[in-house]
Amino acid sequence: MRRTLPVLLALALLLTPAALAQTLRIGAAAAATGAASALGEPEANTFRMLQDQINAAGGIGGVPVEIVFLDTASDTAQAVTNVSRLIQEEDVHVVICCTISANSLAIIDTVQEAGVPNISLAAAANIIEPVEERYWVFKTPQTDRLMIGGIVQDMQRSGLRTLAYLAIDDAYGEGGLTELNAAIAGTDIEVVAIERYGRSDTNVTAQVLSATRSRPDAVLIWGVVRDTALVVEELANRGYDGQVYVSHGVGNPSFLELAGDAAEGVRLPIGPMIVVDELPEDSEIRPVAAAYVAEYEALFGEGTASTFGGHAWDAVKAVELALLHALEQGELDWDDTASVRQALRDALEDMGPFVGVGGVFDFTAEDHLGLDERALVIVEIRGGDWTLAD
Amino acid sequence: MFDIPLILLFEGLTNGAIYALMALGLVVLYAVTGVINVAIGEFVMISALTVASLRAGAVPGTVYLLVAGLALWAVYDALGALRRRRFGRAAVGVAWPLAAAAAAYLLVALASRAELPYLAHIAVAVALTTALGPVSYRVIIQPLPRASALVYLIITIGLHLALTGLGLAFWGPQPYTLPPFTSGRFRLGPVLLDHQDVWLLGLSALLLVLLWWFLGRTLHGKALRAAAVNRLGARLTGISVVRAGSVAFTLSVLLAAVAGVLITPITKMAYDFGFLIGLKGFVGAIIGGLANPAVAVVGALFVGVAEQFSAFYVSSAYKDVLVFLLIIPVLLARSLQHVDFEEHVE
Repeated sequence: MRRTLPVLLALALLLTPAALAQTLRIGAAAAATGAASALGEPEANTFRMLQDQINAAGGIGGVPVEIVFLDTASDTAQAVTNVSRLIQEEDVHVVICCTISANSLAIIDTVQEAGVPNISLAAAANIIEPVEERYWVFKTPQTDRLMIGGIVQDMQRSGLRTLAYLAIDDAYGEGGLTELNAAIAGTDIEVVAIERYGRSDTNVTAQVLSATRSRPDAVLIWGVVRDTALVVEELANRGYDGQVYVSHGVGNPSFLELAGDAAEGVRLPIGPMIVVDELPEDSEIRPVAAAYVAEYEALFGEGTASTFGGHAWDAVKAVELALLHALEQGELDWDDTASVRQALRDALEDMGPFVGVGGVFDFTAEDHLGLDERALVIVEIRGGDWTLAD
Repeated sequence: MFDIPLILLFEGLTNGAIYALMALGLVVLYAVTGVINVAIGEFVMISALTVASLRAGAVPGTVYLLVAGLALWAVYDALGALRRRRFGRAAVGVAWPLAAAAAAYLLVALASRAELPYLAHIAVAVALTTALGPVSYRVIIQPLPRASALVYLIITIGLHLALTGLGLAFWGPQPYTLPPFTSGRFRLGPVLLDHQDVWLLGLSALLLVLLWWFLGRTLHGKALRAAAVNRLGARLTGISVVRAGSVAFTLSVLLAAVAGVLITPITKMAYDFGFLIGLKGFVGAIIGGLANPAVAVVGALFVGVAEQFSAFYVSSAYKDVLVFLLIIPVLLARSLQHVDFEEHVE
């Protein structure tokens, strides 16, 4: 008896969070610090902003929202730990994790086993594929496949035939190469050189020299902000005069600052938000994206909104709509977390299309991203700013 | 035909020069104190980002770090003096670090407000970063005299983590860049030289020569070497081993601080970016057996060049692997030679 009392007390304590009825708990884990923090910080800000907005508006269908945020520090082990903690200790209904592909891939087993829907904020297509093994995993950012498809189309429009591929030496760079090879199959475009560099390399001359040896029509740099800026500068220094494409991973004002004049004429595929003012008037994405940019910048300063925060907005929006859809289907048993998780997951697939900041989403049982070509535009850097390429 | 090797060689030497500054600082510090400073690269980052803050008209976080360090220094000195019941000493012990802290803060606050030229900002940032050298030594190394190299290694790993974290807190995650000292470029055969490359190579070489002169020709430098060769003997001849350690630490931080402002216009800098630079310098230092400054410098230049050539001719995917693999044959050769590092210092 003396022993059972503390055990019972401990059990009671453990069970308390589950007893907190009628609150949607979203567990968010993003890279607020570390190597990917340029991406994760706007995501973290967006979560904070949305939690306040939704609750100020009386919750989702009357259900208040609590977003529990944990920092993954861009670290894979930390991401896995945090997601386990969110699921077991915070007892969340939905997880939104992670900022980068490596982390998002690492947590798949955790959410699959626990049976918790996860919406990833990272690019790689294999986060949600094969869909049979990704029952619980969705994502909002455009895949590398969509983006590289956009680049290949743009190359064909401009009549460019040969391409050198320069990539960061991690999962992002390798994933890009796989998608590139798939995208050029059946076209007359040929990859003539493949080079890699490290995330914090101080010098990329060797790679640039090697990649441009055969004077390719275009160079595609698949990396993130600082390293891409370094490669773009080096290409300019070496007098490369072909078309330079970079990945959407640099869609961040600090890239313009870092690369400076060397970035003139560089093209990239990116979510439509970045050129929201130039989108056609009849674009359904335009009002949504414009509203997000205005709200975000009112809180965090002029010119701070980025597509990465947009991915977080889309993820929360998807959860919001899924909850509304689930509530329409019938009462949710808030004391049974597992059933709410299941209901939300099913609702994500069933709720039908919605317009987000990053495109028009339609999650289905076969496609846990559900974006089409409306989710990207090709922009060109002109006069130190993004402009819609013609 | 030889264009590409020449370009690679030149780029390799530019990077290697930075690694050489790191390697030299590591070797001098290790020889004198037995400390391997894992945090050496963080000082590269701190000096560069301090310049970025000053140029933006902000008071860099570095100065708060310095003030906090000096305050700790005051506490240590005061406690030490009080324990020996020397109250006058305690008062002095408290007074001067606090005065220094106030002076540093005022100076930097003024420097960030005034429209100073770029070079003045660089000078302030390098001075501020270098001042962290003796402070770090007093606060984290000196309280543990005669500890093993392993203990010091763990302490500096702690310093590395702390400084990286503080760098993130002070400057945020985004990368910064600095303008070149003078802009422009010229052609030397097939090699296109930026002015900044010339500044980097020239100033690094100048620093190396100055350091060689300091260690070889001045009394203070000779005292440093004496402390490195034989601590007890040095103490018996009246050399303060503590002061020698402090000077060595400061020297290595100075080299790192200069490296930071030299390299950032070329490579840009972010809070977590110093470590790899320090690590490659460490590979160079290892080639010098952590004892021979001249070999360490050559080793570091070799690391820079090997990096470029392996990226171009072998595979850019395995560039870093190849560079770090260099350590293995070097260590193997050294262990076969049975060189005792401590004894082997000239």
